[in-house]
Amino acid sequence: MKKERSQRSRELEFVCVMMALPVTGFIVFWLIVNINSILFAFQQIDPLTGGTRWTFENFVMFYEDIIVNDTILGALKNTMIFFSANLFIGMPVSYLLCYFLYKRVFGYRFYRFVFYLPSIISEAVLVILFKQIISAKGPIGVFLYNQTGMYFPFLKDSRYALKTILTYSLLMGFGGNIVLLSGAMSQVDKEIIEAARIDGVGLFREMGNIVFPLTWPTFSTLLLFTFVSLFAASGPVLLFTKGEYQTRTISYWIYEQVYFSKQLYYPSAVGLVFTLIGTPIALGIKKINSLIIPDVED
Amino acid sequence: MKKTLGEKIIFAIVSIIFLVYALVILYPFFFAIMSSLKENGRAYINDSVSLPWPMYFGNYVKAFKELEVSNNNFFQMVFNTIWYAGGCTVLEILSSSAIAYCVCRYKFKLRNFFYGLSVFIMIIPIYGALPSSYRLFSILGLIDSRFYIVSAINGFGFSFLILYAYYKGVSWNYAEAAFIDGASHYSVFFKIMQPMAMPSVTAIAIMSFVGLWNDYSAPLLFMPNLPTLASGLVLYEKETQYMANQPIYFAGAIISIIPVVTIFIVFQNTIMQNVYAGGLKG
Repeated sequence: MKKERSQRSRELEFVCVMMALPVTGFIVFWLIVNINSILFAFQQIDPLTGGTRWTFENFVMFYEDIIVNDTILGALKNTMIFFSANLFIGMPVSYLLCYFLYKRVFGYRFYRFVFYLPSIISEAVLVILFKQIISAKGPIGVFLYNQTGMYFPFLKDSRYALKTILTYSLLMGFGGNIVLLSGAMSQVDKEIIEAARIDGVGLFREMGNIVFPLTWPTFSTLLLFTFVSLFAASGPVLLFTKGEYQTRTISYWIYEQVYFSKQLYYPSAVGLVFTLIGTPIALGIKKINSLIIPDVED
Repeated sequence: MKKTLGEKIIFAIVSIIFLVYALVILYPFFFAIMSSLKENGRAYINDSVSLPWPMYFGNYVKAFKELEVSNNNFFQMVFNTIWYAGGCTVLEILSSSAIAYCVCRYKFKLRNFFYGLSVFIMIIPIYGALPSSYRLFSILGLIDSRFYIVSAINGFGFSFLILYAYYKGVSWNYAEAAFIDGASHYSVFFKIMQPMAMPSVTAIAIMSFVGLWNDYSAPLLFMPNLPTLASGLVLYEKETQYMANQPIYFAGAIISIIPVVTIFIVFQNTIMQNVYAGGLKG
Protein backbone atom coordinates (compact mmCIF):
# COMPACT_ATOMS: atom_id res chain seq x y z
CA MET A 1 0.00 0.00 0.00
CA LYS A 2 2.77 2.39 1.03
CA LYS A 3 4.80 1.39 -2.01
CA GLU A 4 1.83 2.03 -4.28
CA ARG A 5 1.33 5.45 -2.74
CA SER A 6 4.96 6.46 -3.23
CA GLN A 7 4.80 5.21 -6.80
CA ARG A 8 1.70 7.35 -7.37
CA SER A 9 3.36 10.41 -5.86
CA ARG A 10 6.41 9.84 -8.06
CA GLU A 11 4.09 9.71 -11.08
CA LEU A 12 2.37 12.93 -10.08
CA GLU A 13 5.72 14.61 -9.43
CA PHE A 14 6.85 13.61 -12.92
CA VAL A 15 3.64 14.95 -14.48
CA CYS A 16 3.95 18.24 -12.58
CA VAL A 17 7.60 18.74 -13.54
CA MET A 18 6.99 17.92 -17.20
CA MET A 19 3.91 20.11 -17.51
CA ALA A 20 4.91 23.07 -15.35
CA LEU A 21 6.69 25.11 -18.03
CA PRO A 22 4.32 24.43 -20.95
CA VAL A 23 1.26 25.17 -18.81
CA THR A 24 2.89 28.40 -17.53
CA GLY A 25 3.62 29.34 -21.13
CA PHE A 26 0.04 28.63 -22.06
CA ILE A 27 -1.29 30.75 -19.18
CA VAL A 28 0.97 33.70 -20.02
CA PHE A 29 0.94 33.63 -23.81
CA TRP A 30 -2.57 32.36 -24.49
CA LEU A 31 -4.85 32.78 -21.51
CA ILE A 32 -3.69 36.20 -20.32
CA VAL A 33 -3.40 37.44 -23.89
CA ASN A 34 -6.98 36.44 -24.68
CA ILE A 35 -8.46 37.71 -21.42
CA ASN A 36 -6.68 41.02 -22.01
CA SER A 37 -7.93 41.07 -25.54
CA ILE A 38 -11.53 40.90 -24.28
CA LEU A 39 -10.81 43.66 -21.75
CA PHE A 40 -9.15 45.82 -24.43
CA ALA A 41 -12.37 45.67 -26.45
CA PHE A 42 -14.08 47.71 -23.72
CA GLN A 43 -11.30 50.29 -23.31
CA GLN A 44 -10.23 53.42 -25.10
CA ILE A 45 -7.57 56.07 -24.57
CA ASP A 46 -8.93 58.96 -22.53
CA PRO A 47 -7.91 62.14 -24.42
CA LEU A 48 -8.00 64.18 -21.21
CA THR A 49 -5.86 62.05 -18.95
CA GLY A 50 -3.93 60.04 -21.54
CA GLY A 51 -4.81 56.90 -19.61
CA THR A 52 -7.47 54.35 -20.49
CA ARG A 53 -11.16 54.34 -19.61
CA TRP A 54 -13.90 51.72 -19.84
CA THR A 55 -16.32 52.32 -22.68
CA PHE A 56 -18.57 50.80 -25.36
CA GLU A 57 -17.29 53.35 -27.88
CA ASN A 58 -15.35 50.71 -29.81
CA PHE A 59 -18.52 48.81 -30.58
CA VAL A 60 -20.35 52.01 -31.60
CA MET A 61 -17.40 52.79 -33.87
CA PHE A 62 -17.56 49.27 -35.27
CA TYR A 63 -21.28 49.66 -35.99
CA GLU A 64 -20.61 52.94 -37.81
CA ASP A 65 -17.72 51.43 -39.74
CA ILE A 66 -19.94 48.60 -40.89
CA ILE A 67 -23.04 50.67 -41.71
CA VAL A 68 -21.74 54.12 -42.67
CA ASN A 69 -18.10 53.76 -43.70
CA ASP A 70 -16.77 51.16 -46.04
CA THR A 71 -13.62 50.32 -44.06
CA ILE A 72 -14.66 47.21 -42.17
CA LEU A 73 -17.46 46.26 -44.56
CA GLY A 74 -15.05 46.29 -47.51
CA ALA A 75 -12.56 44.22 -45.52
CA LEU A 76 -15.32 41.77 -44.57
CA LYS A 77 -16.42 41.47 -48.19
CA ASN A 78 -12.84 40.71 -49.29
CA THR A 79 -12.41 38.22 -46.44
CA MET A 80 -15.53 36.35 -47.60
CA ILE A 81 -14.19 36.30 -51.16
CA PHE A 82 -10.94 34.69 -49.95
CA PHE A 83 -12.84 32.26 -47.76
CA SER A 84 -15.25 31.20 -50.52
CA ALA A 85 -12.46 30.79 -53.04
CA ASN A 86 -10.57 28.57 -50.62
CA LEU A 87 -13.65 26.53 -49.73
CA PHE A 88 -15.16 26.06 -53.19
CA ILE A 89 -12.08 26.11 -55.40
CA GLY A 90 -9.01 25.53 -53.23
CA MET A 91 -10.18 22.53 -51.25
CA PRO A 92 -11.79 20.48 -54.07
CA VAL A 93 -8.85 21.08 -56.40
CA SER A 94 -6.48 20.26 -53.57
CA TYR A 95 -8.29 16.97 -52.98
CA LEU A 96 -8.22 16.03 -56.68
CA LEU A 97 -4.54 16.87 -56.84
CA CYS A 98 -3.77 14.61 -53.88
CA TYR A 99 -5.93 11.82 -55.26
CA PHE A 100 -4.03 11.66 -58.53
CA LEU A 101 -0.73 11.86 -56.68
CA TYR A 102 -1.98 8.96 -54.57
CA LYS A 103 -2.85 7.10 -57.78
CA ARG A 104 0.76 7.61 -58.78
CA VAL A 105 0.30 9.62 -61.92
CA PHE A 106 3.54 9.58 -63.98
CA GLY A 107 6.20 11.61 -62.13
CA TYR A 108 4.14 11.77 -58.93
CA ARG A 109 7.17 12.12 -56.65
CA PHE A 110 8.40 15.12 -58.62
CA TYR A 111 4.93 16.70 -58.71
CA ARG A 112 4.38 16.08 -54.99
CA PHE A 113 7.55 17.99 -54.28
CA VAL A 114 6.85 20.82 -56.74
CA PHE A 115 3.22 21.30 -55.67
CA TYR A 116 4.25 21.49 -52.04
CA LEU A 117 7.10 23.88 -52.82
CA PRO A 118 5.03 27.08 -52.32
CA SER A 119 4.21 25.87 -48.80
CA ILE A 120 7.86 25.53 -47.81
CA ILE A 121 9.12 28.70 -49.42
CA SER A 122 8.65 32.04 -47.79
CA GLU A 123 5.64 33.93 -49.05
CA ALA A 124 7.84 37.03 -48.91
CA VAL A 125 10.09 35.50 -51.59
CA LEU A 126 7.22 34.15 -53.69
CA VAL A 127 5.39 37.45 -53.70
CA ILE A 128 8.56 39.33 -54.68
CA LEU A 129 8.92 37.01 -57.66
CA PHE A 130 5.24 37.10 -58.58
CA LYS A 131 5.14 40.89 -58.41
CA GLN A 132 8.18 41.14 -60.64
CA ILE A 133 6.72 38.73 -63.19
CA ILE A 134 3.41 40.61 -63.52
CA SER A 135 4.99 44.06 -63.44
CA ALA A 136 5.07 46.21 -66.59
CA LYS A 137 8.65 45.12 -67.31
CA GLY A 138 8.20 41.53 -66.20
CA PRO A 139 7.51 38.64 -68.60
CA ILE A 140 3.71 38.72 -68.21
CA GLY A 141 3.57 42.51 -68.37
CA VAL A 142 5.69 42.53 -71.53
CA PHE A 143 3.67 39.69 -73.07
CA LEU A 144 0.35 41.42 -72.43
CA TYR A 145 1.70 44.71 -73.73
CA ASN A 146 2.85 43.02 -76.94
CA GLN A 147 -0.53 41.34 -77.39
CA THR A 148 -2.86 44.20 -76.47
CA GLY A 149 -0.75 47.35 -76.57
CA MET A 150 -1.95 48.04 -73.05
CA TYR A 151 -0.25 48.04 -69.70
CA PHE A 152 -2.18 46.28 -66.94
CA PRO A 153 -1.42 47.74 -63.51
CA PHE A 154 -2.43 44.55 -61.72
CA LEU A 155 -1.52 45.79 -58.24
CA LYS A 156 -2.20 49.48 -58.65
CA ASP A 157 -5.80 49.42 -59.80
CA SER A 158 -8.83 48.53 -57.69
CA ARG A 159 -10.31 46.57 -60.58
CA TYR A 160 -7.44 44.08 -60.63
CA ALA A 161 -5.63 44.20 -57.29
CA LEU A 162 -7.84 41.87 -55.26
CA LYS A 163 -8.26 39.44 -58.16
CA THR A 164 -4.48 39.33 -58.59
CA ILE A 165 -3.90 38.50 -54.92
CA LEU A 166 -6.68 35.92 -55.04
CA THR A 167 -5.22 34.29 -58.16
CA TYR A 168 -1.80 34.14 -56.52
CA SER A 169 -3.24 32.66 -53.31
CA LEU A 170 -5.16 29.96 -55.14
CA LEU A 171 -2.31 29.06 -57.49
CA MET A 172 0.19 28.76 -54.68
CA GLY A 173 -2.23 27.20 -52.22
CA PHE A 174 -3.47 24.09 -54.03
CA GLY A 175 -0.59 22.01 -52.75
CA GLY A 176 -0.84 23.22 -49.16
CA ASN A 177 -2.84 20.23 -47.95
CA ILE A 178 -0.67 17.62 -49.66
CA VAL A 179 1.02 16.48 -46.46
CA LEU A 180 -2.18 15.87 -44.52
CA LEU A 181 -4.26 14.45 -47.38
CA SER A 182 -1.46 12.28 -48.79
CA GLY A 183 -0.85 10.96 -45.27
CA ALA A 184 -4.53 10.06 -44.94
CA MET A 185 -4.75 8.50 -48.41
CA SER A 186 -1.66 6.40 -47.75
CA GLN A 187 -3.56 4.82 -44.83
CA VAL A 188 -6.34 3.53 -47.14
CA ASP A 189 -6.13 -0.25 -47.23
CA LYS A 190 -4.89 -1.26 -50.69
CA GLU A 191 -6.82 -4.52 -50.52
CA ILE A 192 -10.12 -2.61 -50.39
CA ILE A 193 -9.13 -0.72 -53.53
CA GLU A 194 -8.04 -3.88 -55.30
CA ALA A 195 -11.25 -5.70 -54.38
CA ALA A 196 -13.29 -2.77 -55.68
CA ARG A 197 -11.30 -2.68 -58.92
CA ILE A 198 -11.93 -6.41 -59.44
CA ASP A 199 -15.63 -5.67 -58.99
CA GLY A 200 -15.33 -3.16 -61.82
CA VAL A 201 -15.32 0.07 -59.85
CA GLY A 202 -13.99 2.93 -61.97
CA LEU A 203 -11.61 5.71 -61.05
CA PHE A 204 -14.13 8.34 -60.00
CA ARG A 205 -16.36 5.89 -58.07
CA GLU A 206 -13.23 4.71 -56.30
CA MET A 207 -12.43 8.27 -55.37
CA GLY A 208 -15.98 9.25 -54.40
CA ASN A 209 -17.23 6.05 -52.77
CA ILE A 210 -14.10 4.54 -51.23
CA VAL A 211 -11.18 6.94 -50.82
CA PHE A 212 -13.22 10.01 -49.91
CA PRO A 213 -15.25 8.36 -47.11
CA LEU A 214 -12.12 6.69 -45.73
CA THR A 215 -10.22 9.97 -45.68
CA TRP A 216 -13.22 11.96 -44.47
CA PRO A 217 -11.84 12.38 -40.91
CA THR A 218 -8.82 14.21 -42.31
CA PHE A 219 -10.78 16.11 -44.95
CA SER A 220 -13.40 17.14 -42.41
CA THR A 221 -10.65 18.34 -40.06
CA LEU A 222 -9.26 20.50 -42.87
CA LEU A 223 -12.79 21.73 -43.56
CA LEU A 224 -13.22 22.55 -39.90
CA PHE A 225 -9.92 24.49 -39.86
CA THR A 226 -11.11 26.43 -42.92
CA PHE A 227 -14.25 27.47 -41.03
CA VAL A 228 -12.29 28.14 -37.84
CA SER A 229 -10.27 30.69 -39.78
CA LEU A 230 -13.36 32.03 -41.56
CA PHE A 231 -12.68 35.69 -40.73
CA ALA A 232 -8.92 35.23 -40.97
CA ALA A 233 -9.15 34.24 -44.63
CA SER A 234 -6.75 36.45 -46.55
CA GLY A 235 -3.95 36.56 -49.06
CA PRO A 236 -0.56 38.17 -48.48
CA VAL A 237 -2.08 41.67 -48.63
CA LEU A 238 0.80 43.29 -46.72
CA LEU A 239 3.31 42.06 -49.28
CA PHE A 240 1.25 42.95 -52.33
CA THR A 241 -0.58 46.21 -51.72
CA LYS A 242 -0.44 47.04 -47.99
CA GLY A 243 -4.22 47.15 -48.10
CA GLU A 244 -4.44 49.76 -50.86
CA TYR A 245 -6.73 49.49 -53.90
CA GLN A 246 -9.53 47.94 -51.84
CA THR A 247 -7.64 44.82 -50.89
CA ARG A 248 -7.99 44.98 -47.10
CA THR A 249 -9.19 41.86 -45.31
CA ILE A 250 -10.23 41.63 -41.67
CA SER A 251 -7.04 39.93 -40.52
CA TYR A 252 -4.87 42.37 -42.47
CA TRP A 253 -6.85 45.32 -41.11
CA ILE A 254 -6.18 44.15 -37.51
CA TYR A 255 -2.48 43.62 -38.32
CA GLU A 256 -2.30 47.03 -39.98
CA GLN A 257 -3.85 48.74 -36.95
CA VAL A 258 -1.20 47.26 -34.66
CA TYR A 259 1.81 47.41 -37.01
CA PHE A 260 1.38 50.86 -38.51
CA SER A 261 -0.83 52.72 -36.02
CA LYS A 262 -0.10 50.87 -32.76
CA GLN A 263 -3.86 50.88 -32.15
CA LEU A 264 -4.76 48.24 -29.57
CA TYR A 265 -8.31 48.80 -28.36
CA TYR A 266 -10.53 49.21 -31.41
CA PRO A 267 -9.01 46.23 -33.29
CA SER A 268 -9.54 44.11 -30.16
CA ALA A 269 -13.24 45.02 -30.20
CA VAL A 270 -13.51 44.20 -33.92
CA GLY A 271 -11.73 40.89 -33.27
CA LEU A 272 -14.09 40.11 -30.39
CA VAL A 273 -17.17 40.68 -32.54
CA PHE A 274 -15.86 38.34 -35.24
CA THR A 275 -14.87 35.77 -32.61
CA LEU A 276 -18.42 35.84 -31.28
CA ILE A 277 -19.83 35.36 -34.77
CA GLY A 278 -17.24 32.77 -35.80
CA THR A 279 -17.43 30.53 -32.73
CA PRO A 280 -20.97 29.15 -33.24
CA ILE A 281 -20.22 28.67 -36.93
CA ALA A 282 -17.07 26.65 -36.15
CA LEU A 283 -18.85 24.62 -33.48
CA GLY A 284 -21.76 23.99 -35.85
CA ILE A 285 -19.42 22.68 -38.54
CA LYS A 286 -17.72 20.44 -35.97
CA LYS A 287 -21.10 19.10 -34.91
CA ILE A 288 -22.14 18.41 -38.50
CA ASN A 289 -18.78 16.70 -39.15
CA SER A 290 -19.18 14.41 -36.17
CA LEU A 291 -22.76 13.56 -37.20
CA ILE A 292 -21.53 12.41 -40.59
CA ILE A 293 -18.78 10.26 -39.10
CA PRO A 294 -18.76 9.89 -35.30
CA ASP A 295 -15.58 10.74 -33.40
CA VAL A 296 -13.22 7.84 -33.30
CA GLU A 297 -10.51 8.82 -30.80
CA ASP A 298 -10.32 7.22 -27.37
CA MET B 1 -4.40 -3.71 -61.83
CA LYS B 2 -4.55 -2.65 -65.47
CA LYS B 3 -6.02 0.70 -66.41
CA THR B 4 -8.93 0.91 -68.86
CA LEU B 5 -8.63 3.07 -71.99
CA GLY B 6 -10.81 5.74 -70.39
CA GLU B 7 -8.58 5.83 -67.34
CA LYS B 8 -5.47 6.03 -69.49
CA ILE B 9 -6.95 9.10 -71.21
CA ILE B 10 -7.84 10.65 -67.84
CA PHE B 11 -4.31 10.04 -66.56
CA ALA B 12 -2.84 11.53 -69.73
CA ILE B 13 -4.96 14.68 -69.32
CA VAL B 14 -4.07 14.89 -65.63
CA SER B 15 -0.38 14.51 -66.50
CA ILE B 16 -0.60 17.46 -68.89
CA ILE B 17 -2.43 19.59 -66.31
CA PHE B 18 0.13 18.62 -63.65
CA LEU B 19 2.99 19.50 -65.97
CA VAL B 20 1.52 22.92 -66.76
CA TYR B 21 0.82 23.61 -63.09
CA ALA B 22 4.35 22.50 -62.14
CA LEU B 23 5.77 24.91 -64.75
CA VAL B 24 3.60 27.73 -63.34
CA ILE B 25 5.09 27.07 -59.90
CA LEU B 26 8.66 26.61 -61.09
CA TYR B 27 8.78 29.52 -63.52
CA PRO B 28 9.13 32.22 -60.82
CA PHE B 29 12.20 30.42 -59.47
CA PHE B 30 13.70 30.12 -62.93
CA PHE B 31 12.99 33.82 -63.43
CA ALA B 32 14.57 34.65 -60.05
CA ILE B 33 17.72 32.63 -60.79
CA MET B 34 18.07 34.24 -64.21
CA SER B 35 17.49 37.71 -62.77
CA SER B 36 19.97 37.11 -59.96
CA LEU B 37 22.69 36.46 -62.53
CA LYS B 38 22.22 39.74 -64.40
CA GLU B 39 24.16 42.92 -64.08
CA ASN B 40 22.52 45.62 -62.03
CA GLY B 41 21.76 48.98 -63.60
CA ARG B 42 20.13 50.11 -66.78
CA ALA B 43 20.57 46.85 -68.64
CA TYR B 44 18.49 45.08 -66.03
CA ILE B 45 15.91 47.79 -65.59
CA ASN B 46 15.20 47.99 -69.29
CA ASP B 47 15.20 44.26 -69.88
CA SER B 48 14.19 41.91 -67.13
CA VAL B 49 12.87 39.26 -69.53
CA SER B 50 15.92 38.11 -71.48
CA LEU B 51 18.39 35.46 -70.36
CA PRO B 52 21.48 36.73 -68.54
CA TRP B 53 24.73 37.03 -70.45
CA PRO B 54 27.38 37.28 -69.15
CA MET B 55 26.29 35.64 -65.94
CA TYR B 56 27.21 37.51 -62.77
CA PHE B 57 27.62 34.73 -60.22
CA GLY B 58 29.34 37.30 -58.05
CA ASN B 59 25.89 38.68 -57.20
CA TYR B 60 25.52 35.80 -54.75
CA VAL B 61 28.70 36.83 -52.94
CA LYS B 62 27.58 40.46 -53.06
CA ALA B 63 24.24 39.49 -51.51
CA PHE B 64 26.08 38.42 -48.36
CA LYS B 65 27.99 41.70 -48.26
CA GLU B 66 25.51 44.25 -49.51
CA LEU B 67 22.05 43.20 -48.37
CA GLU B 68 21.62 45.16 -45.17
CA VAL B 69 18.41 45.86 -43.30
CA SER B 70 17.99 47.85 -40.07
CA ASN B 71 21.78 47.67 -39.53
CA ASN B 72 21.71 43.88 -39.88
CA ASN B 73 23.84 42.39 -42.62
CA PHE B 74 22.94 39.15 -44.38
CA PHE B 75 24.89 36.96 -41.92
CA GLN B 76 23.10 38.56 -38.99
CA MET B 77 19.75 37.96 -40.69
CA VAL B 78 20.70 34.30 -41.21
CA PHE B 79 21.59 34.06 -37.53
CA ASN B 80 18.35 35.81 -36.52
CA THR B 81 16.39 33.36 -38.65
CA ILE B 82 18.12 30.30 -37.21
CA TRP B 83 17.64 31.64 -33.69
CA TYR B 84 13.98 32.47 -34.24
CA ALA B 85 12.96 29.39 -36.23
CA GLY B 86 15.22 26.93 -34.38
CA GLY B 87 14.54 28.31 -30.90
CA CYS B 88 10.78 28.47 -31.31
CA THR B 89 10.67 24.99 -32.85
CA VAL B 90 12.68 23.40 -30.03
CA LEU B 91 10.60 25.07 -27.33
CA GLU B 92 7.31 24.33 -29.05
CA ILE B 93 8.08 20.67 -29.72
CA LEU B 94 9.49 20.01 -26.24
CA SER B 95 6.39 21.58 -24.67
CA SER B 96 3.96 19.68 -26.90
CA SER B 97 5.80 16.42 -26.47
CA ALA B 98 5.89 16.70 -22.66
CA ILE B 99 2.21 17.57 -22.37
CA ALA B 100 1.04 15.04 -24.97
CA TYR B 101 2.98 12.25 -23.27
CA CYS B 102 1.69 13.06 -19.78
CA VAL B 103 -1.92 13.55 -20.87
CA CYS B 104 -1.83 10.38 -22.93
CA ARG B 105 -0.01 8.04 -20.56
CA TYR B 106 -0.65 9.22 -17.00
CA LYS B 107 -3.89 9.35 -15.05
CA PHE B 108 -4.38 12.59 -13.15
CA LYS B 109 -7.31 14.86 -12.38
CA LEU B 110 -6.88 17.45 -15.13
CA ARG B 111 -6.03 14.94 -17.84
CA ASN B 112 -9.34 15.14 -19.75
CA PHE B 113 -9.47 18.87 -19.19
CA PHE B 114 -6.10 19.34 -20.92
CA TYR B 115 -7.14 17.23 -23.88
CA GLY B 116 -10.41 19.13 -24.18
CA LEU B 117 -8.53 22.40 -23.84
CA SER B 118 -6.27 21.52 -26.73
CA VAL B 119 -9.22 20.70 -28.99
CA PHE B 120 -10.99 23.85 -27.78
CA ILE B 121 -8.00 26.00 -28.75
CA MET B 122 -7.96 24.45 -32.18
CA ILE B 123 -11.64 25.00 -32.94
CA ILE B 124 -12.38 28.35 -31.32
CA PRO B 125 -11.58 31.13 -33.76
CA ILE B 126 -9.88 34.03 -31.99
CA TYR B 127 -9.28 37.02 -34.22
CA GLY B 128 -8.35 40.02 -32.14
CA ALA B 129 -5.52 38.75 -29.93
CA LEU B 130 -2.72 40.50 -31.82
CA PRO B 131 -3.06 43.88 -30.06
CA SER B 132 -3.12 42.19 -26.68
CA SER B 133 -0.07 40.06 -27.57
CA TYR B 134 1.76 43.21 -28.63
CA ARG B 135 0.98 44.89 -25.31
CA LEU B 136 2.03 41.83 -23.30
CA PHE B 137 5.30 41.41 -25.20
CA SER B 138 6.00 45.13 -24.70
CA ILE B 139 5.42 44.82 -20.95
CA LEU B 140 7.61 41.70 -20.77
CA GLY B 141 10.34 43.42 -22.79
CA LEU B 142 10.13 40.81 -25.53
CA ILE B 143 9.75 43.28 -28.41
CA ASP B 144 13.02 43.38 -30.34
CA SER B 145 14.47 40.86 -27.93
CA ARG B 146 16.05 37.50 -28.66
CA PHE B 147 13.99 36.15 -25.77
CA TYR B 148 10.87 36.61 -27.89
CA ILE B 149 11.16 32.89 -28.64
CA VAL B 150 9.85 32.02 -25.17
CA SER B 151 6.39 32.85 -26.52
CA ALA B 152 6.61 29.48 -28.29
CA ILE B 153 6.39 27.66 -24.94
CA ASN B 154 2.80 26.61 -25.28
CA GLY B 155 2.26 22.89 -25.49
CA PHE B 156 -1.28 22.88 -26.81
CA GLY B 157 -2.56 22.93 -30.35
CA PHE B 158 -1.79 21.02 -33.53
CA SER B 159 1.55 19.53 -32.42
CA PHE B 160 -0.05 18.31 -29.21
CA LEU B 161 -2.81 16.46 -31.09
CA ILE B 162 -0.40 14.79 -33.52
CA LEU B 163 1.93 13.67 -30.72
CA TYR B 164 -0.99 12.62 -28.52
CA ALA B 165 -2.21 10.36 -31.34
CA TYR B 166 1.31 8.98 -31.70
CA TYR B 167 1.82 8.21 -27.99
CA LYS B 168 -1.62 6.64 -27.90
CA GLY B 169 -0.58 4.18 -30.60
CA VAL B 170 2.80 3.25 -29.10
CA SER B 171 2.97 0.02 -27.13
CA TRP B 172 3.36 0.61 -23.40
CA ASN B 173 5.12 -2.76 -22.94
CA TYR B 174 8.59 -1.25 -23.36
CA ALA B 175 7.88 1.28 -20.64
CA GLU B 176 6.51 -1.38 -18.29
CA ALA B 177 9.58 -3.55 -18.85
CA ALA B 178 11.81 -0.57 -18.09
CA PHE B 179 9.85 0.26 -14.92
CA ILE B 180 10.30 -3.35 -13.74
CA ASP B 181 14.05 -2.93 -14.34
CA GLY B 182 13.96 0.13 -12.07
CA ALA B 183 13.92 2.92 -14.65
CA SER B 184 12.50 6.28 -13.56
CA HIS B 185 9.67 8.08 -15.35
CA TYR B 186 12.21 10.53 -16.77
CA SER B 187 14.37 7.71 -18.16
CA VAL B 188 11.37 6.07 -19.76
CA PHE B 189 10.29 9.33 -21.39
CA PHE B 190 13.71 10.53 -22.57
CA LYS B 191 15.42 7.21 -23.31
CA ILE B 192 12.56 5.02 -24.54
CA MET B 193 9.44 6.92 -25.58
CA GLN B 194 11.08 10.01 -27.06
CA PRO B 195 13.44 8.07 -29.37
CA MET B 196 10.48 5.95 -30.47
CA ALA B 197 8.47 9.09 -31.21
CA MET B 198 11.37 10.60 -33.16
CA PRO B 199 9.86 10.16 -36.67
CA SER B 200 6.67 12.01 -35.62
CA VAL B 201 8.61 14.59 -33.63
CA THR B 202 10.99 15.16 -36.56
CA ALA B 203 8.09 15.57 -39.00
CA ILE B 204 6.30 18.10 -36.81
CA ALA B 205 9.53 19.88 -35.94
CA ILE B 206 10.43 20.28 -39.61
CA MET B 207 6.99 21.61 -40.50
CA SER B 208 7.16 24.03 -37.61
CA PHE B 209 10.73 25.08 -38.46
CA VAL B 210 9.87 25.69 -42.10
CA GLY B 211 6.79 27.71 -41.13
CA LEU B 212 8.80 29.86 -38.74
CA TRP B 213 11.70 30.25 -41.18
CA ASN B 214 9.23 31.68 -43.68
CA ASP B 215 7.20 33.74 -41.24
CA TYR B 216 7.52 37.45 -41.89
CA SER B 217 4.52 38.95 -40.11
CA ALA B 218 5.49 38.12 -36.50
CA PRO B 219 9.17 39.13 -36.92
CA LEU B 220 8.10 42.37 -38.64
CA LEU B 221 5.85 43.24 -35.73
CA PHE B 222 7.74 41.87 -32.77
CA MET B 223 11.38 41.95 -33.90
CA PRO B 224 11.66 44.90 -36.30
CA ASN B 225 15.35 45.48 -35.50
CA LEU B 226 16.27 41.80 -35.53
CA PRO B 227 15.03 40.94 -39.03
CA THR B 228 14.91 37.36 -40.20
CA LEU B 229 15.55 36.53 -43.83
CA ALA B 230 11.82 36.63 -44.62
CA SER B 231 11.07 39.87 -42.80
CA GLY B 232 14.42 41.30 -43.97
CA LEU B 233 13.42 40.88 -47.60
CA VAL B 234 10.17 42.75 -46.92
CA LEU B 235 12.02 45.53 -45.09
CA TYR B 236 14.73 45.71 -47.77
CA GLU B 237 12.08 46.27 -50.43
CA LYS B 238 10.46 48.94 -48.25
CA GLU B 239 13.72 50.69 -47.37
CA THR B 240 15.22 50.74 -50.85
CA GLN B 241 11.97 51.32 -52.78
CA TYR B 242 12.99 51.69 -56.44
CA MET B 243 16.70 51.97 -55.61
CA ALA B 244 17.10 48.26 -54.81
CA ASN B 245 19.85 46.35 -56.55
CA GLN B 246 17.42 43.84 -58.05
CA PRO B 247 19.85 41.06 -59.07
CA ILE B 248 21.39 41.06 -55.59
CA TYR B 249 17.93 41.20 -54.07
CA PHE B 250 16.95 38.10 -56.06
CA ALA B 251 20.22 36.39 -55.15
CA GLY B 252 19.38 36.99 -51.49
CA ALA B 253 15.89 35.60 -52.01
CA ILE B 254 17.29 32.46 -53.64
CA ILE B 255 19.86 31.97 -50.87
CA SER B 256 17.14 32.35 -48.24
CA ILE B 257 15.11 29.44 -49.60
CA ILE B 258 17.99 26.97 -50.05
CA PRO B 259 18.03 25.68 -46.41
CA VAL B 260 14.29 24.94 -46.20
CA VAL B 261 14.15 23.35 -49.63
CA THR B 262 17.14 21.15 -48.72
CA ILE B 263 15.57 20.13 -45.41
CA PHE B 264 12.30 19.32 -47.13
CA ILE B 265 14.00 17.25 -49.85
CA VAL B 266 15.91 15.23 -47.24
CA PHE B 267 12.95 14.69 -44.93
CA GLN B 268 9.95 14.68 -47.27
CA ASN B 269 9.25 10.97 -46.81
CA THR B 270 9.46 11.28 -43.01
CA ILE B 271 7.01 14.18 -43.13
CA MET B 272 4.57 12.52 -45.53
CA GLN B 273 4.51 9.27 -43.56
CA ASN B 274 4.18 10.73 -40.08
CA VAL B 275 1.78 13.62 -40.26
CA TYR B 276 -1.88 13.19 -40.90
CA ALA B 277 -4.89 14.44 -39.01
CA GLY B 278 -7.40 11.75 -38.24
CA GLY B 279 -10.18 13.96 -36.91
CA LEU B 280 -10.75 15.76 -33.67
CA LYS B 281 -12.61 14.39 -30.73
CA GLY B 282 -13.96 16.60 -27.98
